[in-house]
Amino acid sequence: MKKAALARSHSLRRQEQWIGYGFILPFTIGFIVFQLAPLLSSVAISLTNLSFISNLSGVKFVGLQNFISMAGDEQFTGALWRTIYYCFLFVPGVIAASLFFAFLINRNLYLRSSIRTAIFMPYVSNMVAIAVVWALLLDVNDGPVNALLRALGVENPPLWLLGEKTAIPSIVMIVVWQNIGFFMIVFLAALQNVPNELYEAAMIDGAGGFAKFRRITLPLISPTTFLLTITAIINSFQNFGPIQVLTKGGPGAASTTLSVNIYQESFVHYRIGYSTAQAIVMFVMILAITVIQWRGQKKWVTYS
Amino acid sequence: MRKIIVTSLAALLGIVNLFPFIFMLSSSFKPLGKIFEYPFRLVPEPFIWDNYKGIFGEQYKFALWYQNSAVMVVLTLALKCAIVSITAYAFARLRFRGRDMIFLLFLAALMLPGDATIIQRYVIYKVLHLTDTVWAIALPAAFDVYFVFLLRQFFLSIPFELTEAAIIDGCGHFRVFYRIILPLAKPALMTMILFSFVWSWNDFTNPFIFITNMDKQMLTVGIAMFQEMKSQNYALQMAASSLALIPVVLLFMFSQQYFIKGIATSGIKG
Amino acid sequence: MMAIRRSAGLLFAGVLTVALTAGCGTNSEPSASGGISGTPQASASGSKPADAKEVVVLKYALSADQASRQSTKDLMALVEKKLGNVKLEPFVIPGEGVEFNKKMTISLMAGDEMDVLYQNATTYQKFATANLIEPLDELIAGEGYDIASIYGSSLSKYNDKIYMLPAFRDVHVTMYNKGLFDAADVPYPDNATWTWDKYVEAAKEITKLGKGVYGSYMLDWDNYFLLQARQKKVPEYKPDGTSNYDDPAFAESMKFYADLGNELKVQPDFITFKSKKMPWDAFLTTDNYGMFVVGNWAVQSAMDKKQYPRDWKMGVAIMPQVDEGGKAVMGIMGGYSVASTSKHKKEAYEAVKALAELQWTLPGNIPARVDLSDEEINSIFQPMVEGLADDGITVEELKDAILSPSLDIVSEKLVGPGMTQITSLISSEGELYATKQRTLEQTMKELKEKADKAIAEDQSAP
Repeated sequence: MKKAALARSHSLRRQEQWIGYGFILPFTIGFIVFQLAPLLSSVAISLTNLSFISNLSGVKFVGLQNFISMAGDEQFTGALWRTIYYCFLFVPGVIAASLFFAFLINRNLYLRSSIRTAIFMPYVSNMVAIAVVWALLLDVNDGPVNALLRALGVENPPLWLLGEKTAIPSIVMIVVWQNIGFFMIVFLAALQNVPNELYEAAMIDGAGGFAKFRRITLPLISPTTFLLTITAIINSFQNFGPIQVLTKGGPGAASTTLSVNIYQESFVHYRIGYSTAQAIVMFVMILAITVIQWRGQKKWVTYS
Repeated sequence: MRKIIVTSLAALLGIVNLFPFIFMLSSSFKPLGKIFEYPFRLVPEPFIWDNYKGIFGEQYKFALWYQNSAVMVVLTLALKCAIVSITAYAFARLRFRGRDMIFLLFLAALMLPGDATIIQRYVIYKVLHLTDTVWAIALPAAFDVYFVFLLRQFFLSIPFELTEAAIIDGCGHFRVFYRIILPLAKPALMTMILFSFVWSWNDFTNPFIFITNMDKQMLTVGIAMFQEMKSQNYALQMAASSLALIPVVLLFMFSQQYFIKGIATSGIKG
Repeated sequence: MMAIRRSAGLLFAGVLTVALTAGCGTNSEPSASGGISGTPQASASGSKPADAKEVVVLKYALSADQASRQSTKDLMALVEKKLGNVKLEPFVIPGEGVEFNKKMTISLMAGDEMDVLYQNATTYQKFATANLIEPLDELIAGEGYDIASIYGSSLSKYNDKIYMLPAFRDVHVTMYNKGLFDAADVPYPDNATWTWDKYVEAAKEITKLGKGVYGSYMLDWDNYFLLQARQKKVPEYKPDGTSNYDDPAFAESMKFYADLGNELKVQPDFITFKSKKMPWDAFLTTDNYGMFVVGNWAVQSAMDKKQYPRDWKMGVAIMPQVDEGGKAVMGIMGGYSVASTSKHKKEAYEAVKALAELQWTLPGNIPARVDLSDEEINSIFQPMVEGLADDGITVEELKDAILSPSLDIVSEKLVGPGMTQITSLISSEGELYATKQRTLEQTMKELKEKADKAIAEDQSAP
């Protein structure tokens, strides 16, 4: 009896392997063509001095030279620090804000549907329209925000997007605002998946609000929190779109983050080999953070 | 009482969030010179329909662009629903050698900025004869790792006891996927559909680079044209953007029901 | 509630269906790769001449804005008529500036076929370095084309080769609002004596802050930060190759520009300009600015009464000078090149030649050619004057400001090692100064240091 069961479980196991490979096959093929090939070619390019030369005839292999130059390149190191700064502001900001609002919206509210739609809207709007509106709102001399601050007695209201020190925080604020729509919805879906019975059982056991949050909600949505944290980190590195539209990397180089620098190296200075090398560095950093998080998963993410 | 406070808080955020759209909508009915008028006037005066008529003008192909975007989005979503979900299921609930390593490799693809690979991608698409077709946008989007990631996380949170029983009873994996997992993951699926729609519908960079023929171009690039062709004609752009928003808003409203509690999560105890 | 959601779903399906069929009726062009409806139906498809030579189709890269202009269509028709066996097909790129460049360069890099490219005297050098455009020397020598006498000093070489044939020039002028001058009782600028001091005086008289009227309007491009220094021809490189921005002339220019807005208040201050994203054409779309110092391409735009209707009269004068009687004006050449991915290089070269020789015949264009007769030169300004008839501008005025042989053209943009980077540094450091986040000293110091770095990088590039 046991032997048969064992044999069956073996063959089930093997079946599972093949089914697994089969299931992922279509995607893998597409992945190789559309994602992997470009990625590998980027690694190759980062080892050259490619500079938009067609025919590839003048390209030289320079090995790790690009990476070495980077270390001494102030533009690069500056951009790197700014990106890290941005990341530190953005990730906690967006996760906290969207989780808060997901909770808020999850409850019994009046006008729940409409409010949800309203919160979601900025996410679907095109960046140019958003930039125009925020430029108006944050207008230093005439905008409503500064007008309010002056009315409250603030003498020198900030320059927001025009200020050297305030550029990045302003951008983060706008991008968080825009992204709440996405992050909140994903959190909502996760919150929905937490079965009511668990909350009911906890209430019967006498657990209060915060305890419920800590012991039931947080663990059960942790796979999603993990997902969204990684998403936020990736977003904060790949923030070229918003920055280009809002400040173009200015004033000066105050908001030139890594993604902006890479774009400029590619399409303004035409140093493709170098810019790709920088992109690889960015890639390795994100990968490292993700792997660390992945390993750390075991500690704080609970899967059923 | 609590309800009112909570509602007010949320409503406040709602209004702040809506402002750009109120601005956009209002501007779409104003003549160009009045859009940046200070102070901002909510109800346009004069109130004109010219902008909406203007965008359907001869030299623009607004209707055609709208159609192209619609076709692209439908194709992308169809492909994604078929391929992404099944792949995510495999990563979440099947065991096979190298599973996690492969998954990490997939994830890695998300981490390289688009600009770094754009030239290579252009060359690849050219070689595959995809440039200037809707497939140049739909295919890469269909193989989007992000939703494999998202769905995997959701599938992982469905207890294994539920499916193990079925499998041991001889139920094939595909049926398990189709009959048990999919229905349970409706919120996640809806999330994928909603956001895939939004991302594809609003994608600018990819159509801009990979499609040149204005007949095949997508809505986002078309709208940018309004800005170019008349030295930043914001008025036309606002009208076009307002029309472009409609499907997205409708889809969102429709998808709301999947985020409402009450959808069967029971069956876990049973 | 549920009902609303269901109906949203139905509505969505409905809208999508409409969308999926929306474009079915639209006339799409037969295989036009990039043509917008309205491209001139030139000789190709229809009437072939009896001894039909094979018509070569050349792809001409244009931004959407350029492609839609009547002047562009006229130009293409002109070239096609002269050459007979060539059809210019616009390859439209729906973007401008860096976006335009991005798509064009990606296209070229991937080997997409393109034939004719518009360039100006500073952009073509980068393209040449990247081997994206062809050197034309062989083709020129091959047919003995006498470029020296036709183009003279308008021609520029890069690495001793010719990559671009100049078709038109653009010099800075002072555009002014006669109505506002009259209202403030200020005499119009006189081309013989117009200086920066007089400019500031006039601006002060015209400015009425309470009404939002300013005497002066300028933009945030790098040339504005260094106006006088460039007019005085202060070199931007030292003999040893490093940058020369520690020369006080540059600091003075920067201070002058920032003061216009911040201290003298005759111009919207920089913070306001940036914060409100003021458009380049505010001078033309409003009745609020007394003077606008800008390239003469803006005069061409002003001639388009449909796009810029106005009820006030405009004048055009020479760019303000440092010293009275001076004639230094900032300018730049624009021209055309042959893309290296062209499969019809000879025909493309012919087209480029035709463009360079003929563009000036279309109204609003100022020739780069130096071999035109007085009559021909007058004929350029005649249509411009007619286009600006309402403004009462004379041919003499335009000539003095734009094409007089006595004009001393100084390059509006920096040319040399590290030029792209330095150009953007001037704007970005200048911005920090003009928004009062840096002192003048700090700004110039930063500029010099960063410029030196850029030069070193550029020269050490493999």
